[in-house]
Amino acid sequence: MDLDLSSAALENCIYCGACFRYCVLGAYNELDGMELKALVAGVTRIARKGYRPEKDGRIKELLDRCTLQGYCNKVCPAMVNPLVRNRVAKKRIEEER
Amino acid sequence: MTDYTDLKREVWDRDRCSGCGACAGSCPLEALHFRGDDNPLFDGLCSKCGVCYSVCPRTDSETSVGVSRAPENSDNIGPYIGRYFARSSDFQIIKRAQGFGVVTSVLKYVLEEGVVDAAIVVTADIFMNTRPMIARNFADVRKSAKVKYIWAPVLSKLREAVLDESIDSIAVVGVPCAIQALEMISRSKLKLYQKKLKLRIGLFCWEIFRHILISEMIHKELQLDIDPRRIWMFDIRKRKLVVELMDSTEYHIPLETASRYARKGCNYCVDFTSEWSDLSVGNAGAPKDFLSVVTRTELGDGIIKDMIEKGLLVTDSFDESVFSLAERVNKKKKERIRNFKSG
Repeated sequence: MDLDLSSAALENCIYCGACFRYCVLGAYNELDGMELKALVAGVTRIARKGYRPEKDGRIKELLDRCTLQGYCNKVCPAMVNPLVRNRVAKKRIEEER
Repeated sequence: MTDYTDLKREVWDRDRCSGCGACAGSCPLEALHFRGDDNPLFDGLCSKCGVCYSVCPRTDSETSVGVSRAPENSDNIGPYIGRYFARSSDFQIIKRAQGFGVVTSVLKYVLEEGVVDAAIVVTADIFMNTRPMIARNFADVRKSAKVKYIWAPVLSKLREAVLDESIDSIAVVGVPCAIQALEMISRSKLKLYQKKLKLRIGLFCWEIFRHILISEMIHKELQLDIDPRRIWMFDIRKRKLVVELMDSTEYHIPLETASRYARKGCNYCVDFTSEWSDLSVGNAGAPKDFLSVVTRTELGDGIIKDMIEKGLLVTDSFDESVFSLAERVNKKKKERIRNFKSG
């Protein structure tokens, strides 16, 4: 499993939310645009700086729906690798536990 | 943080929208759509990512001003490498296409030589309802071969082409506003678009007409009831819009009259010759039976030179005095900069 966060190219992210919006499982269909943006920002922050149980509960709850299918990589217009980002964020959450 | 409401306020509500389709074709959440001849409609989710605003060449942003108003300051037709008078050498292409088949031949060449995998062009149904399409081969290109002067949001097809994994490189055929939007995209954060958009083929354009031209103008101005299915093509000759029917009958409408049916956003365009393109083509300034071709990048010039060498394009000797018409029209269009200043 690739856990090198630099390969996620997070610096390219425009926080559009397409990665979650077009999740192949439809796991985020109920979120509106700003919630999608907040989710991307939250997952990115966890991947970069670690999980804060007291503040990131909702983000974790949503990220738990992600099964790392990787379709998100195909819809990102900014060439971010959301799959790696999500993997790293999940690992950070595991580490905190 | 910008979003589509900024675009609405600065562009749509001020009638500056050229209808290039870049906002719709780049919205990551596919929330902007074109219906009819009007401005884009918002219908979906917005995460305020600002992409739609960042790719529009008609906003008040510094980048947009630099791209869409810069031609005001460029000399004559803008930067170029080569200028040619050319036409296709393939009679079958000339017969079916407009502009002596130059663009059709170039598209055939770039698709068959593997310069690009696909091209975004405009096609029309039998009622002359235009729409953008992704052409992957010459058969597709032929469907777009005689469509001209009727507006379609060509770049609204961008997202579909860019996200298609079987397409690595894309050419776009567009009027100056669309080419300006491609330049905006090249300066945006849309890395995937930048990676795939390879070739910009610009068309000379004074203004583009709404579809209402067919349904209303012909009826009102010519007092004719022409079935759109009988229209073979539109052309502009000697300051007249020419409506040519299948039976070769021609109707001529003064451009001043036809202009009333142009998109309002065209009044904010100061680029006649698609100055941000790799190569641009148009009737203006060309001798009879040829088209003016201006190459502006190494890629564009290389394509035209190779096509001439392979006999795919026939050229006439370039005559500065003949071409000067294109420069005069270009200069005239640059005067529209006053519309930005006043509105």
